[in-house]
Amino acid sequence: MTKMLLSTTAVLIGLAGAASAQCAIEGDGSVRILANDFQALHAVVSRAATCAGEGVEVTTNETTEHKDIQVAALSTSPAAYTIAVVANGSLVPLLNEGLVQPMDDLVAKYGQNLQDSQLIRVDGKIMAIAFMANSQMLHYRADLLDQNGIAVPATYEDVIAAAKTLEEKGVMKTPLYASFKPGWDLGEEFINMYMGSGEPFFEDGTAKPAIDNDAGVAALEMMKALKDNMGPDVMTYNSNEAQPYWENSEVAIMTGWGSRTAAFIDENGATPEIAKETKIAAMPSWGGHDIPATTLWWDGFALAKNISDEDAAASFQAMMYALSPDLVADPETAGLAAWLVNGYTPTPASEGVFANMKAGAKPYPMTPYMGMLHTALGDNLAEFMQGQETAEKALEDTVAAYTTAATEAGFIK
Amino acid sequence: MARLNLKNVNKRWGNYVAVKDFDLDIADQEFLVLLGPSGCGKSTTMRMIAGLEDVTEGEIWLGDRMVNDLEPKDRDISMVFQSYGLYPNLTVYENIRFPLRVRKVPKDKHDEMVMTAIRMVELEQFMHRRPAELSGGQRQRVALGRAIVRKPTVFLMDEPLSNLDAKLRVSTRAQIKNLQSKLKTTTVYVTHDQIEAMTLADRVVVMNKGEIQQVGTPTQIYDHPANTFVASFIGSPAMNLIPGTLRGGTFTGDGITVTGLTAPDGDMTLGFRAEDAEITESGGQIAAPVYAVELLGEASMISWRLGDALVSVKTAKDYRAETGQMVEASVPAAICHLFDTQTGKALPR
Amino acid sequence: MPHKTFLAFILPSLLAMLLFVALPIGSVVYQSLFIEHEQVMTEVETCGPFGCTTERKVDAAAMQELRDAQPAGRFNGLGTYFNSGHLAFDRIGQIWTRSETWGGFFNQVMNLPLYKALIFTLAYTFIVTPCVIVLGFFIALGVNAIPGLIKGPVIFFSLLPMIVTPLIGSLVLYWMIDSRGIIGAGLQALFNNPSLSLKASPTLTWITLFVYGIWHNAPFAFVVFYAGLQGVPQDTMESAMVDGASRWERIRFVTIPYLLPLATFVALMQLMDNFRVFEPIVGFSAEANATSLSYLIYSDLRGADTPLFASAAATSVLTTLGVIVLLTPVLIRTWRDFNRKA
Repeated sequence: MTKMLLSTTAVLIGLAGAASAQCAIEGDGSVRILANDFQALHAVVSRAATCAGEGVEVTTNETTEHKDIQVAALSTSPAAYTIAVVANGSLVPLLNEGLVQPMDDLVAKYGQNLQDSQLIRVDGKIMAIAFMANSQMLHYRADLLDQNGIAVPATYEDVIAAAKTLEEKGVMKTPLYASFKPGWDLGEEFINMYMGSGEPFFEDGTAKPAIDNDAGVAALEMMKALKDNMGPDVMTYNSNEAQPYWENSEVAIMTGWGSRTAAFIDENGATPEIAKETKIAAMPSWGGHDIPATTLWWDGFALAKNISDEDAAASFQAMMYALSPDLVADPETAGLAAWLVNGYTPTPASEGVFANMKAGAKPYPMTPYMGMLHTALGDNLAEFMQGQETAEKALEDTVAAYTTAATEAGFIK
Repeated sequence: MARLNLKNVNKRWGNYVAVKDFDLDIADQEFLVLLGPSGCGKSTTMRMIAGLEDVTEGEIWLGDRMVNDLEPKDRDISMVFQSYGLYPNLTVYENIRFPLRVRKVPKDKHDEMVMTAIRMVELEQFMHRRPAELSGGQRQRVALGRAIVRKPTVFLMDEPLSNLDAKLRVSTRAQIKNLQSKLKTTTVYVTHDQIEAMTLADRVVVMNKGEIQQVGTPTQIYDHPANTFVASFIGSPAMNLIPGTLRGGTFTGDGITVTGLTAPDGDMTLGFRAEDAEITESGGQIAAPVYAVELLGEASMISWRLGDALVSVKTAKDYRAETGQMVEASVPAAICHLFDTQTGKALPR
Repeated sequence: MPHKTFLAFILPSLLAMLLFVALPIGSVVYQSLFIEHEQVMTEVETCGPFGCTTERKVDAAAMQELRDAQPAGRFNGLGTYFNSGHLAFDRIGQIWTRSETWGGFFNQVMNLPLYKALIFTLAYTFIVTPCVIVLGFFIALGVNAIPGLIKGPVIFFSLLPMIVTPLIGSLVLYWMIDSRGIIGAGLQALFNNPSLSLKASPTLTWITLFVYGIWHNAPFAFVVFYAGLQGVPQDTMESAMVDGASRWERIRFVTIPYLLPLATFVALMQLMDNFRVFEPIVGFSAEANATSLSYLIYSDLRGADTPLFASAAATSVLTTLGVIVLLTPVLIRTWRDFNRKA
């Protein structure tokens, strides 16, 4: 394992060394990074790995299971990892347990390249550094919409009308795609939709859920209307499986994650003619509200609490090197995400995220019990989507499941 | 009516010959015993009659039907196995009824037929038990009951007494004899036990290495063994066999000389039964130091070592002699059998 | 055997049982009685790339103090067992008062998480187990009847479903039943219904899972029965042939009674295994239409940001009780047989 890491590290040094300035870290220390596993993060993590050298040791663990091990891994003393690469959702458990430390001093000392918008301040203290933004965005086939006289949809009502037109004209049978797979995906879709209503998720100042209302029902009905224009296997749709449908021209309008857009518009990909016509827009709004029905996400890193000051300093410097403007100087890396780092100019793949931000989309709430509500939504909406129960019943089930979990976790008395 | 006729029946597995040219006519109501050591082909012969083995060559006729290509169930036979072959989950009554049930005999006749069979094998008080709750002898009686219940034309019994202890064997043997004489069904019985063969059979077929050695009544086989194999297989103890030469009516072997025999000169094997010879004070054909004295209860057995052969003579139960003591035995020509040493065949007397 | 020798003889396994069976079960039961401390919350301003918001946050330091004082958490008694995520007696009461028909009552009760999982788990157990036994038996009979030369390869292929890792096996089948996979598309063409989806319809999902379960488990029954068939008493079999029994009657009166103890064994193993059905649900992404007790435990532990240990422990205890209830009849039967033979 170590051997493999060392050899990858060595190769990376060779590659990076030729292109840009060497990583130079003041002092000794150990850098141990835990991260999710997708391309944009890999670019960051592998740059940090090049900082290995005299007195500095770098180990990395990129895994999709990072969320499930981060609390346990950072609870030990010293912590198993010095850096946890997190998103706004996954930072919360670390904050809840008090496993990350403020980085104000380190930012002052080494953070010259950081922009103020990158600093995640909780109660005034810098608890995380964001480096990329992500959100869902509307992907559409410009050619198909043009040919059928459909304008780019700005609302979900437009999306459904566009789908109906495509169906009636016999262009496609099931022109829409959204990640409705029960579990995290379906929960996220509801949260996005409900965000578009502007209503709060919880009663003010408590952990009591507030989704069991007209806005919740309307959001669900909208999702159901979308679902009726999707393929028969819609209840297993997730963002991993969207690409074949898209490349097979079975889908014309899709809500999908910005971090995956690059693959859809890649004109060197499997179907350049479709990629060429794939365009991006902000997420639609609905119900007469002006808010894009989506949540904004950032990916960033936090510094473990149970580590020595040397390791903290070395780790922070390594991340600063990784996030220097050199990162986005490579156009391929720049195209991977909507970067928040200094020196980045938006690429087509990130247009949607910025369009959402501009249109007033809100970030995914960092409330400690949001994750539980998300889980409860993911587990309890499928039956409504398949027409086995009413929207009210689905929300009632969700509230019951959430209340049980939140009570057990001590958030509700 | 139920004549069983085997015409030049052969059984081969590849190069191995299990049964060779078995040719036999079994009369109606006859009790025929196939006797021989294990592996002699007697069971295979019976299984071919039952239809459990295919006949490689030859024909089997049951009455006026050639049954070679018939399934076992269509041959109208029944069979009793060494380890009973009972249905463990059925009661005694149901075990015996089984053949009627699967043969679609009208239901209203079942009870009468089953009860008749149960009475014949004397299992009335056990009829509601399962085989696991019965002794070996009782189990074999259940198997007998099952064999007789549908009144087949032929009974086949494959070593039915071999799994029983000595005492049960005697009583069950008697019961089989009794049943057969009552039912008068043609029976083929396989055994390696010569006593069973002698006591039960109308005729005995002695087999060895897949071939018939001799067919005859028990008396014929005992008194006139057709060859050295039969001579050495039948009788307890088996016939004494001493190799030697015959010159002008005088047989000379290691430690023995017998005169007055009538046969052509040549290499001969002399045979006589232990109970036919006598101990004598002087002038015996055998005179040698005693090898062993065994007390049998009803008699004593004196044996000598003559060359490679062990020779025994039965005498009075109170006879005593020391090992190594010189003892003589009289073996007159009248009790002697002569066998051609080369072919093993008996010479006519 | 003197008591001392007996004790020395059995002590190692007794210790191992205590260490590896009693202790974990005990700790799970203990865990199920406690829930997390009440969270101490503060309101803070959170700023980031998307602006500032005021959010509630857990006071980690205050929580640490509470946890140091009472590491197991708040004592909740059997509260977790009775909450709406588990036995949900309160909600059943509510449903009882507001539902007018028995059908409506059952429908709503079966919508409660534990009962929903329980009904699928039971259906899976009681459909898959007998089918596995019957199918395994017939495969064994079939394989036993084929000549020696091709027997080896046939046995190997028959065992494949068991050799393949459950998750891989279910994924392979999952792709095949996709509406664009070979089975899914085939069925659509067969029934001339383009909206037919094995993945979407709850009934079809259940059937798919059952079929998968049977496919995956049949080799186990097959192997056991095939081994058993080698020992079927030849005498009895031939008796039956001579007595006039047909092939089926021979199977019924000779083979089946002989294999019955093995069938009990297979049933026991299968009941236990099937009651813990889990992998196919994940593999088939069937959580929307079918959840099992094991899946509930998994989702309690992995679903949310913070694992719900009490819920998972309570479901585990209930599952264990379920296994005990399920196996009792079989065990009683075995015990009776044992006594009868002794």
